[in-house]
Amino acid sequence: MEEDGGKFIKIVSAEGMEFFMEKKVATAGSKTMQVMLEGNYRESENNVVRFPDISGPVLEKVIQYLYYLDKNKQLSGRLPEFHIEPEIALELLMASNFLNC
Amino acid sequence: MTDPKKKIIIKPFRSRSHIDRSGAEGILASLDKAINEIHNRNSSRLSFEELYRNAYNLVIQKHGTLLYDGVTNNLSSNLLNTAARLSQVPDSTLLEEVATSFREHVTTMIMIRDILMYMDRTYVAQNKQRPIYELGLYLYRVTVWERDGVQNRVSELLLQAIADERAGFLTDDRSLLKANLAMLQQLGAADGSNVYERDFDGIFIGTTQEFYRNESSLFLAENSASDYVAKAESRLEEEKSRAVALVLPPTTEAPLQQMLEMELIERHAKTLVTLENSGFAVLLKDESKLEE
Repeated sequence: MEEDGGKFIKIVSAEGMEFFMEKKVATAGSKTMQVMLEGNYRESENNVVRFPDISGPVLEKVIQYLYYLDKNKQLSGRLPEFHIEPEIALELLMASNFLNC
Repeated sequence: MTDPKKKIIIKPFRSRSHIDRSGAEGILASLDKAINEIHNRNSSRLSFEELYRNAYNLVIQKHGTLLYDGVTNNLSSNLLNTAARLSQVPDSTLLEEVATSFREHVTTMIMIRDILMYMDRTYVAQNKQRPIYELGLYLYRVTVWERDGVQNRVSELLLQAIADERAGFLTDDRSLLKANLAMLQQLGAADGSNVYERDFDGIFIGTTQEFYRNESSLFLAENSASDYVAKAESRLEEEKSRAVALVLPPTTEAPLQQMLEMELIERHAKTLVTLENSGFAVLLKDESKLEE
C-alpha cells in the first residue's frame, strides 16, 4: 500500500500485528531502520518492514520510544520519564540491541 | 506505580532455537548467495531485515568467526574474478575499467557493511579484526590492484597521460586520472598502506624532475633569458593547475612545488644572470632594454 510520497511505513510484528509510523521518525531513531529504508532493498521499495522475531507488544513499545525520542530531541536537561513495564523489559532489550536504538 | 503486593512476572525469555554448526553453515550459504546478488547489482529483491537478522543470529549464537571468514572468502573470490578480467583488458580502456570496478566495489562494500553492522559493532571490536568496509578495500588492494597486469599498466598509463599533457596533446578528460588517483588514496587510507606513494607519487615526482631538468637546459641553450622566464612561469602555472584538477594531496603538492622551483629556477639562476647578450646583468647595464 503506497502512501503518497512514502511518508508512512508499515511495520509487521511476529504475530502479524501491523503498525504504521512516520518514516522520518524511524530513520532518525534507529540506525538499522535507517539503513533498511534508505538502501536498495525490498523494504524501501514498498515501505513495509517485517520483524518476524519481535512480538507485537514489544514492537509497539519500540515505536513509542522512537516517537518519544523525536518529541524530545530538542530538549536538553531532564527528559520526561519513559515508562517500561518490567514484564517486557528483557524482550525489549533484545529488540533494541537488534535495532541499534 | 505498581501495587507492591502484586507480583511482577517477567516472562521467561523465549530462548531462540540453538543454531548448531551445520545450521550456521546453511545460513552462511544463503548470505553468501545474497552477497553475490549485491555484487551483481541485483539487490532490490533482497530483504534487508532477513539478511541483517541472519547475520545477527549467527553472531549471537557464537558463530561470528564462521561469518567473518565466510564473508572474507566470498569477497576474495569475487575480487579474483575481477582481477583476472581486468588484467586482460586492453590498455585503451584499462583506466576506465579500473575506475568503474572500484566505484562498484565501494557501493557493494557499503551495502555489505550495512547488513553486517551488528557483527562490526560486536564481534569485530571484541576480536580486533578489520572492520568490514576496510576489509573490503584491503582485499581490493591486494587482490586486484597488486595483480600483475593491473598495477604496472595503470601506473604507466597515468604517467603517460601526464607526459602527453605536457607535450601539448589535449587529453580527452582528466576525470579518469582523477578517479584512479582518488582510488589509490582511498586504498591507502583504508589499511594504512602507502600504496599511493609507492605506486604513483614517488615515480611521478622522479619523472617530472627529469623532464624539467632536460627541458629547461635545452630551452635555455637556445633562447633568451626573458623568454626562458616566461616559459618557466607558464610551466609552473600549468603544474599547479594540474595538481589542483587532479586533486593531488598536499603531501605531493609541497615537494612537487619545491622540486620545480629547484629545477626551473635555482639550477639556472647563475646562468640567467650571466648569459651573454640577454642575461639579467646585461639587461640591467643596458638601460635601453629596461622595458624587457
